[in-house]
Formats: sequence, structure tokens, C-alpha cells
Amino acid sequence: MALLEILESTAIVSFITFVYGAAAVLYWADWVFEKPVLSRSATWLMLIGFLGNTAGIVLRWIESHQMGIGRAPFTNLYESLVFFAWTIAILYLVIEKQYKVRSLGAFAAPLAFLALAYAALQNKAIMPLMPALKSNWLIAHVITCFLGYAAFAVAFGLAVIYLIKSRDVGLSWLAGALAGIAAAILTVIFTGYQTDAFWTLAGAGFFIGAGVALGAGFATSAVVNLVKKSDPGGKGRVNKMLPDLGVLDELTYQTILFGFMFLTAGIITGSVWANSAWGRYWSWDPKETWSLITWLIYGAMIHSRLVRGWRGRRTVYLSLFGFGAVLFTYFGVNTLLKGLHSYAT
Amino acid sequence: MNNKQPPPPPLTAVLDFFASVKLSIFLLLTVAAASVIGTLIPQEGMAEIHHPMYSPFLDAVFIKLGFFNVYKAWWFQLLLGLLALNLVVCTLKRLPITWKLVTGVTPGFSRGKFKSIKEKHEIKLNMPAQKARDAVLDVVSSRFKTVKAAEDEDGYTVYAEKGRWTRMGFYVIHLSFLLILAGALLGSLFGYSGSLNLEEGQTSQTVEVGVDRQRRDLPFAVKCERFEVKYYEGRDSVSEFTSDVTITEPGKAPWRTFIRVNHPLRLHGVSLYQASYGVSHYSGLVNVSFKNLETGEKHIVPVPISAQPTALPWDKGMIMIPSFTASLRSRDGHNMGPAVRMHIFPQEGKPEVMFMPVGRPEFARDVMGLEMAVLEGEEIVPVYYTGLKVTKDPGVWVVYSGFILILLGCMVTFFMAHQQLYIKIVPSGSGASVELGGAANKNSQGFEERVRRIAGRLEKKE
Repeated sequence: MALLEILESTAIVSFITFVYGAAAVLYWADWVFEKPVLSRSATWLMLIGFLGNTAGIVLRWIESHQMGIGRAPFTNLYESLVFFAWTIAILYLVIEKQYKVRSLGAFAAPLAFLALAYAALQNKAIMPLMPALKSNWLIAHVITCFLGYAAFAVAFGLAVIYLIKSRDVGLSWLAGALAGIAAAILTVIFTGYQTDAFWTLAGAGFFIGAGVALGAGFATSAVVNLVKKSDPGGKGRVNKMLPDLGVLDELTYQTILFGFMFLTAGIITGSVWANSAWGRYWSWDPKETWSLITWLIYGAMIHSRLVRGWRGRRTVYLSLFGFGAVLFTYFGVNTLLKGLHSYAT
Repeated sequence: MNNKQPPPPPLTAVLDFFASVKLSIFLLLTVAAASVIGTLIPQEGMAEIHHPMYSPFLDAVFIKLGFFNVYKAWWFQLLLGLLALNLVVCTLKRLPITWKLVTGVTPGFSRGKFKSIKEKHEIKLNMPAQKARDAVLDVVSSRFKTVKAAEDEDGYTVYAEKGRWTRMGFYVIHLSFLLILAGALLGSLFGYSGSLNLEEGQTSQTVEVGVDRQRRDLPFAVKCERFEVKYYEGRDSVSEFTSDVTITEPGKAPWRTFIRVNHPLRLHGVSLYQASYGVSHYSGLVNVSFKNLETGEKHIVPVPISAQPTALPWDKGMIMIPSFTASLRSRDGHNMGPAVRMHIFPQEGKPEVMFMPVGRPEFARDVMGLEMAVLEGEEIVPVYYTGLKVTKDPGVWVVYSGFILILLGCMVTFFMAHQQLYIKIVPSGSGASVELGGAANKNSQGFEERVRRIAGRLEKKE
């Protein structure tokens, strides 16, 4: 117990942020220098990060019990972000072990790092639970939702790799534009957007967002054009290192199926919980609705693979859109829209 | 000869349209887009809406389109209906084929199918062909449900198969989707949702439903014995709201139970939820002092907080204190502390109503030649009401069975596949050449890996 008294969960998590950050740098370095030692140490760092992340979550659980208000550590934005990083890490490690796609680490590690970095800005106090949250459904709901989110995050990373490998100019234009819009929304969220001013600023926001999207789209497609010119045959080192398009396509799809199942389970557990807390299993609350929107987009994506000739490109479009919806469900709704989940901010 | 295909009859064309996957994708994305509208524009029943919210023109357009109540708008319901129809037609069209495939006879090794497999693994085993066949059967039979071996002109063939039933998985998902929609419809047609505010000690057998506050009978009577708010130790955050109630069902002895947040009471298809609470009024009494300004005599009268008047001293009339408030705001916004509302009924003349602070003799007033002040109260306690939400939803179990089925369906459809493995064993020299090839209806990469592992396993058998 002596160790417990010295180490605080928040301190561990702050440290782990840098471990994920370092892993990200090593994975990137591996793309550039392609030295096995780099990616191998990156994997080790990722594993250390994951173990530390686990310890942080368990410790926080213990800390809440020591405070006499014992509850699962999944109840506010800080805790959910720490858990989000954890789910990304474990999912990535499993995929790396199973499919040997180390190049994916260059996306998974930074996502885990960003989640924890954003967590560092949140209120870290352990607060007692309000009565509505005191339910056994809490743990099931949070775990299923976040496994879903993490799978979609990893699938997003895979879709980006697909993009790089396919060197598709149109596709990269769209991805750039989407990234631009996402960046604009995230900036708005980070800077603390006021809900009251929404409609007055919506017009301006639309044009700014469109401008940013256009710019980002052009920039990305220009980069892809440049890459194509410098390496016309696709014999370049980076291109060779990346898995085949077929493998990437299948892996993205499998990851999305995994995410879809857990998102379904997340919506269902949330629904059953809402029915026992508020007497309605569905009330079109913005968070609920946005999780449904995400579900519908990925549902459409899964069906799109049944249409002849739609694999690959269109699948990537929809998985990029889907991840945009995931980000909005997770961050956008709490900040921009009002509803039952507002405690999470 | 005419090479052109004749145009399909109209009915087939319509059916084909509704059976198309492209339509499903279009509908899924349209429902998603429509749902976005409902999260950006404030919806009726979620917040107070004051028209016009936008410009009067835009407001009128939005009202016409039902944008303030998207999820109940006819066109939204129509989209859901079309999605359901799309699903039913798809199922009716494909189910017979799948059913035949799933329930049909197990095929054997098929030369044609084996030839069409692109990726095959060939291994050489250092044993006679017959032994090689036994080794193959040994490895394969523990991994596949049905295994068929046969002998043909150039050696042996083995066909192994598993998971044929998993092809039914996606029908299960679609059926559960329909179940959820049907359950929701059932709930909206035959269910209700109302509220019931009960003071401590109060009993009710009806509930107010909807905006027009229609009263509906409950199949039992609810009496609120006590309402309690519990706090976390040493904190001011609430840990629990509890209603202590007595339920009386016709022909049964009354029984007592608790209703807490997340722990509703479910009885005769009706559910009671702890939704809100509040102070309906206070009970107790206040001491009012009177000084007769003529004689200088003093009198203290205890007046209960109730609608019952009490006699004033010296036969001056009656006094009544119908309500108490924990904090009175003065006109300039000052908090005057606890106060009472007081009615004075003189023997003759008009009654007077006034607010008097409690325990503040400096705010004494002269009434009918009496100097009156409100002294400390005694045993003034709030009487709480509990706000219960009462719902009846006969569709909820249909929805829940849809929930369970959709998860099972996802597991089967996404992560289990119909796998078929063809193996050909041909004697070559003193040993045998074994060729393996297979197909799965899902995750072909994963199945490829599996075939590779089976081949590796066989090589170790030597």
C-alpha cells in the first residue's frame, strides 16, 4: 500500500501521455528510416503505456473507494478520455500482434496520446455519482461504447493508410476536406464555444468551415500529387512497407464490424439503462441521436460492400464520414448541444 | 433473334427496386441526415419553443416541414416505413435461396469448385496416400463440423464444411430491426407516459397523461408515506432520492415498497419511476405575540400553518397562516429569511392579507389596535412531494427481444463464416501430394490464414 500512497492515478496518467507520445514519434521514425529496432521499441513503449494506463484506471477506482464514494472510473470526460486511450491501445496491440501491421501504429499511438493530452485539460477531481448514474449498466454502457469508438478510430487509421497506399487524388481531397472540417469543429470545442451564440455564428462558421475544408482538401491532394510524381511506379520504400490494398480493405472492414457490434451493444445498454432510470428507452436526446447517426452511417458502409464495385474507395469515404460522426458524438454533442449526457462535460 | 432482354413486368420492377441494397444505403443515410436536423433545431417537448425562433418566413417553413418535431413528422415515419419495407422485400427475395442452401444436402468434393479456387496450398507428405488421407481426416475433423472423404481415380478427396447456418445470421439482424420498430409502434399506440406528484401522506389511483393532463386510472393505489433525500457523507451532493410508498391492489392486503432512481417499481404492466421531488408546503406552528395597545396586556397565540383559522385574543376576530416560506424576497431583492403568509379576519370589516417575517419582532405591525409580531416557529418542517413518472409500454419487451437478437445476429454474421475446405490427395513417388483450397463467405483473408495453418499442421504430422 505504500506505493499506492505515493503514486496518484492522475500522475501515472500524465506520465503515460508522454509514453504514448514517444511511441508515436518512434512509429513515425520507422516510416522514415524503416529500422526494425524503431518499430520494435515503439511496440514496447505502446505496451508499457497500455499497462500504465491500466494501472491508472484501477488506481482511480481504488482512490474513489478510499474516499468513501466508490464508483467505476468512467463517469466524466476526464475518465472517459483515459479509458478511450486504453481501448485504442489494447485494440491496436491486438491488431499488431494478429496482422503484423506496424505501420498502423503511426496513427493509433498519436490518437491515444491526443486523448490523454486532451484529458489533461479536464477537471480531474473524483466526484460522487448523481443518483441517475448509480447503476450497474454504467460499466457495461461505457465499456461497449468505448470499444466501439476505439475500433472506429483504428479503422480510421487504416482508412488513411489505404488512402496513402492507393494514392487516390480525389479520395485524398475528400479526406483532407473532412480533416479540415473536423479540425475546425475541434478548434471551436477547444476554445469553449457558447451554445447561445450558435445560430448567430452558424453562418460565419459555415463559410469559415467551407474555406478550411477547401484549403485542406487542396493541400492534401497536392501532397498526393507530389508523391505520385516523385515515385511514379509505387516502388518507393514507404509504399512497399504498407500492406496491400486488399488486406487493408479487409482489415478496415473487420475492424468496423467489430466497432459496429460494440456500438450496437453500447446503444442497447444505454437504452435499457435509460428505461430503468427515466422510464424511456429512447428519447431522441442529442447524444442518443448522434450515436444512432453514427450507427446508420456505418450500417450504410457495411451494406455498401454488398454493391458490386463499391469496395475500396466508397467504403473508405463512408468510414471517414463515420469517424467524423464518432468524434461529433463524443465531443461535439456535449459542447454544442444540450441533453441528458451534459454531465459528461 | 432479338438479343435484348424483354423489360421486366411492372410488379417485378417495383419489387426489384425495393429489394435493392442501394435503396437501403440511400435510406440509411437519409434517416441519418434527417436525424441531424432534429439535433440542431430545438425540438418540441425538449425545451420551451417560442415562435418565431428564426425569421418568421423560416419559422413558417420549418413548422410546415415538421422540423420542430422531426422524429414524429410524417416524412420521418415514412422513411422508417420504407426502410422496413426495403428490409422485408429483401428478406422475402433472398430467404428462400439461403434456406435451401442451409437445409440442403451436404455436398461432397466438387471438382469444378476446386478448380475455381485461386489460392491453393500444395504440400508433400512423406507417406502413402492412404495414410496421408487419414492424417488429413485427423486434422480436419476436429476443426470442421462435417467431413466427407471419397476415393476417385487419381487418389482421395476430402470435403470439410462448417458454419453453414451462419448464413442465416443476417436475417436475424434484419428481423430484430423490424422487432424494434414494431415494439416502438406498439408502445406509441397502446402505451402512455404520465406524471404523479404525491405529497407525503397523499394517495392516488390516477395519473396525469400528456399535455392536456388527462387523468387515467391505475390498476392500484399508491400512497406516499415518506420522501427522503440522502446526501453523501460530508458533502452537499445528493446520493439518493427515495419514495417510501404503500401499494394497494384491489382484493389484496396493502404492501410497502421503495422507489428509487434507477430502481423503478413495475406492477401490472405499469412502471413507476422516481423522477423529481419538491416541497409542497410546511407543517408546524408559529407563535404570534399580540400587545393590546390600550391596556398594555400581552398575549402569545400559537397558530398552526394550515388553512384552519385560530381565534384572536380579546375577541378581535380570527387569524390564519396558510403558508410558510423558507426565504422571502423583498421587493428590492433582499432575502428576508423565513416568513409566513397571514390572513386577519376582523369581527367586522375587510380581511387583510400580509407577509410577516418569522422570528423578527422588530417587524411588528399594528392591526386593529394590536401590536402584532411573529416570534419563532415551532417544529416547522417541509412536507415533500415526490414526483413519480408513470409509464405503460406494452412494446418494451418486443424491443428488448429485438435488442438481444440483434446482438446475437451481429456476432454470428460478423465473426462466423460458412467455411468450405476442399482437399485433394494424390500419390506422388513414395509419398503423397496434398492440395488444399477453400472458400468462406466472409473474411476471406482470415480463412486463407486458417487454411495455411491447417497445411502447416499436416506437414508436422510426418
